[in-house]
Amino acid sequence: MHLLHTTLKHHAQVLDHILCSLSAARMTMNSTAIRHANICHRSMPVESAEQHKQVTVPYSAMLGVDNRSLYCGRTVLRKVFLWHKKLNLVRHMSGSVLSKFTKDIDLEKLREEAKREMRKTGQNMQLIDKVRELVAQKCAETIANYTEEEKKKLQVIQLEHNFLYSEGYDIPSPDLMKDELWVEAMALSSKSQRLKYYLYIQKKKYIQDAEREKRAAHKEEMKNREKQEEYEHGRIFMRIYEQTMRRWLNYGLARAMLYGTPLVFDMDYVDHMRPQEQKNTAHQLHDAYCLNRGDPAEDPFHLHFTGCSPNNPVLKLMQIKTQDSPLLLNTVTEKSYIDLFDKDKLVYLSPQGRQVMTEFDPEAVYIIGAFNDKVSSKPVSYARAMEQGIRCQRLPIDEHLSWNQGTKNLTLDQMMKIMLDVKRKLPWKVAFKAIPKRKLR
Amino acid sequence: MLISKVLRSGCSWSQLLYTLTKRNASLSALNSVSTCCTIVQQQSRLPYGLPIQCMHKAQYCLQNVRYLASSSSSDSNANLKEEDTQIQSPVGGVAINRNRRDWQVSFRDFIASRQSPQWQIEDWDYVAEKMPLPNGPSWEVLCMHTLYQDKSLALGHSLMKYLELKGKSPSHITSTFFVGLLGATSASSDQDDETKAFFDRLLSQTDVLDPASIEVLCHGLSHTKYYKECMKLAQMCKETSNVSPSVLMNMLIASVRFKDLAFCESTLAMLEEENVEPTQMASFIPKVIEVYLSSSSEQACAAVMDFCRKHSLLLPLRRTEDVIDAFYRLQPDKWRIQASYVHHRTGRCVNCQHQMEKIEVTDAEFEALQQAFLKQVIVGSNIFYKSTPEEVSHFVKFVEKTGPYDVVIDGLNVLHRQKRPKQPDVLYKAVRHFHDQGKKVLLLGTKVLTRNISAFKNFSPRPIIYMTSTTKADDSFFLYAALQSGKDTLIVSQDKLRDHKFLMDPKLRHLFQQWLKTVQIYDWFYSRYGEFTIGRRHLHSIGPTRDEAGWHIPLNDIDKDYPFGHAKVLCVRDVTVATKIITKSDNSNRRPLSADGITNDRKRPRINYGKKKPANNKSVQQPEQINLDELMQ
Repeated sequence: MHLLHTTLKHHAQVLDHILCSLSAARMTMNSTAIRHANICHRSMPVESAEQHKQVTVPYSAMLGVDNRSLYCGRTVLRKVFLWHKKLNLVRHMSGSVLSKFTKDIDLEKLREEAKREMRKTGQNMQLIDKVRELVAQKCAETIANYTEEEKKKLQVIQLEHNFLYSEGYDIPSPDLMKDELWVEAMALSSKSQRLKYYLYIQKKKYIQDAEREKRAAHKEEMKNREKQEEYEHGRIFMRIYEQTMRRWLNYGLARAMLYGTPLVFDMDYVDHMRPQEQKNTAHQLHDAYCLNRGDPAEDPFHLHFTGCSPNNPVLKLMQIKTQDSPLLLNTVTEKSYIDLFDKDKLVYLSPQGRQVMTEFDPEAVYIIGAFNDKVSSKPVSYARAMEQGIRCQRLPIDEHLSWNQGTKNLTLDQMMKIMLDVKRKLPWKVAFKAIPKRKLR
Repeated sequence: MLISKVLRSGCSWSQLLYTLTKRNASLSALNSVSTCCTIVQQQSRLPYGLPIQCMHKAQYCLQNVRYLASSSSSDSNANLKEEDTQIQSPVGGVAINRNRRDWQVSFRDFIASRQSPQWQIEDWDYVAEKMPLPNGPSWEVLCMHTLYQDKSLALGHSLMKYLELKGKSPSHITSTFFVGLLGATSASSDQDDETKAFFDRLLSQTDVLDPASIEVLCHGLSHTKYYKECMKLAQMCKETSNVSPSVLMNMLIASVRFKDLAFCESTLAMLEEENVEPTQMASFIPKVIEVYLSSSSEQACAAVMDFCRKHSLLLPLRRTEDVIDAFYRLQPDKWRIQASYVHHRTGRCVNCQHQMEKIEVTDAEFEALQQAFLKQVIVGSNIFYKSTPEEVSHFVKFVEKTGPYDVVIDGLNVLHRQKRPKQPDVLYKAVRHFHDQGKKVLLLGTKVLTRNISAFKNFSPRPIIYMTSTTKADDSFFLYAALQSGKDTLIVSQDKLRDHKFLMDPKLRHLFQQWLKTVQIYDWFYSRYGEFTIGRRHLHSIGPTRDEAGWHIPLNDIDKDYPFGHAKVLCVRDVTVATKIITKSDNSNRRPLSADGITNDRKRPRINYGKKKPANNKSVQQPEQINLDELMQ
């Protein structure tokens, strides 16, 4: 514990230094200052973090300094574009392929490569493209390495796809089927499952096409529009740039890492989830992270991702999702929460818990399972708490709301909203506004 | 007007529509059918949700009429076309590509525009050149698939001939569809041979077949005398993926069609082996019955029905009309069908007084359940889902020490499943009821029960009470206690306990369900004097059964208000056999059973309520009727 704190303190000092230099850079728009900041960033004690088996990817986050121009107009557009690209990647690739092949990807190395290539060719090359390339390559490798039996199965599946296509189902045509889709289809056990999967891909494709069209139309419209003068000076409000905002928010997170209340996300549920659910968890985790960062009370939690090996697919997916603005300012560790905190203080939040959480206890360390179960509704987290002998509580949903339908399992971002509100001592009624209305009466 | 009168008299909808279209093959039928359709739409408050069924029937009849009318008048045809499309539009498949659907419509229009079914080479040339589908499969595949769907054999033959003429060998997919088409329309043994020849040619071309084409091939082959090939195909399918239920159902229907008991049994074994959930099969019952009626193969059908009874499959209410229709259509003037129910105490069908079998679980089966329960249900994949190891071991010891019990009561269920206004002392009454009979009672619940147990102080011997820590465990715990105590221990609970059923091994599930049927008390009420009284217990199987004079087919009348159903059955009587029995009994007071006496029959108080014990049955063939009549006098 002590060691951890010292390293964090050290990090925070460096961080302050960077922030100062950065603000200087922005005010004077001095390129040397930016370079200085970059150097500082690189000399960060990353090794010290790795010594404690902490997978921290934080500090490039707050800088966000790259060779993009600071001026907004174009960057915003570009960001929108990138954002779409990001979504497309995650949408396009199906769950098991993503979680299987992105497990041992070295993201830092890939980013370097992408940058180098971009410099060389001058084309827009992003990390996402790199990841996609790599995954496609790996899929091709696996198909090439199939045994005789598997090869036969693949052949049968391809024949079947062709047949289903000629039966008139709305599925992608055989020449549009890529390696990764075949790999995914191989994992499915019956004809109806595969048909459903193909239908799903086609549906996604339609949505994607529609989006692309819409974007192109918008672009066309923007081109034809008369250019307005972007006049910044002479207004009473100073423009606050996104980067400034981000830096400010990240500063809040860094402060929380030093002095904030801990909140644990138990990441050790990978075995219980299907690939699709892992993907959803990664999305929700990202949302929860952002909500915590933008806490209106400016007192975010210090998030701990426990039981999280560096190759945890959920973490990897989350990192891929947040690559263009890598934001993880929290503790990621392989250790269990039992090793990190006092056992008496731990409280597992589970919808199946027997005790009711009446109010937020600032002394307690709350644990939320980073777990999604769409199909089976087994009390997994409750069982885990019982097994480890930890207190297990549920939210007082029944006491304050009249429930209509649906499970009482909440998503991670909803949980985060509720926890932030409760921490501010807001009443439960207000906190429970995060629960979607369709579930209430 | 006439039609509505007929309908009011209780005649079957489908029967009416069918006769209308079949007998009046003229244009005058058009009007009557359309009025009939409007009546169907108006009267939506009929039992069994008939109108939806009838709409499909009406659609079918309309197609018939359209076909008949097309030869004589074009005006009426146009009128009907509009109606037809209105009905058909929601039926089309959702997952079908839109371009593809448009293409099919245009192709069908093209077929309709040709007068003669004998197509010339120019016609096919036209289709090949003018009607390609961009980004789609080749034109012959498209054509053959449409022809397969429409079952137009002549055009299929002509297309194959055309392909031969052009020197093209048909692709693997085209020939698959052609085999399906040949088989599905097969009526003669020549065509069966032809199907087999094409099938063999297809097999010689490729060594692997995929599950989707196997489905089509099985559909075709199951109609021919070479239906045994389906088993080979299913084995081939099994190598790479699960066998789809439709293949298995086609095989089952083929076995009924060709009266092959051995094949039927092997298919049923495969069904159980493949872990296909048997409840999926319930919707295929009408089809099986239809095939059985047209082929009259008693044994194979009986095997299927035994399977249904074993897994207690019930006929969905919305398919009832199909079954009735099949009986009336395929063997007219032979059957009389009535909705009936099995009386809970006597186990007789109230309509025909047929005695149903009692549900029984043998000792060996019970033992298997006993041994599997703790491991599969309570422990499962993680013991902490329900309980803790300490609690389980404590309860096991507790049962050893205090058991065996005569009655196990699910305390929470008795406490909370009561109508308003809620009474506080229901638990006391329930325990009192069994205690007064001198039975050893185990009351199981959670800590909530502490409020209520003070009432049991005066009991001697005191009822045994166990309280679990969570509500998760209590269900499985009382089941465990009941299983350990023996075969005759009763369970008092209104829970359907399906979640526990599905935690068990697939082979034990039906046993578990049958055991529950024998021991569970789910219907109770509090009498005028506040006494706990047991209501109905259905101890007799209602599953599909065959007797000398017909069938009993159970209906799925389970709904929210009656989770255990009313034991409704479709009582199918063979009119010819039934009249014979009546003449045998030579009772002059009896009115003869006739088709028009349906409504009168209901009023006749023929039900034996079991209060007055009838003398023990003497003869085999419906002796109860005689006894009843004696009682009445």
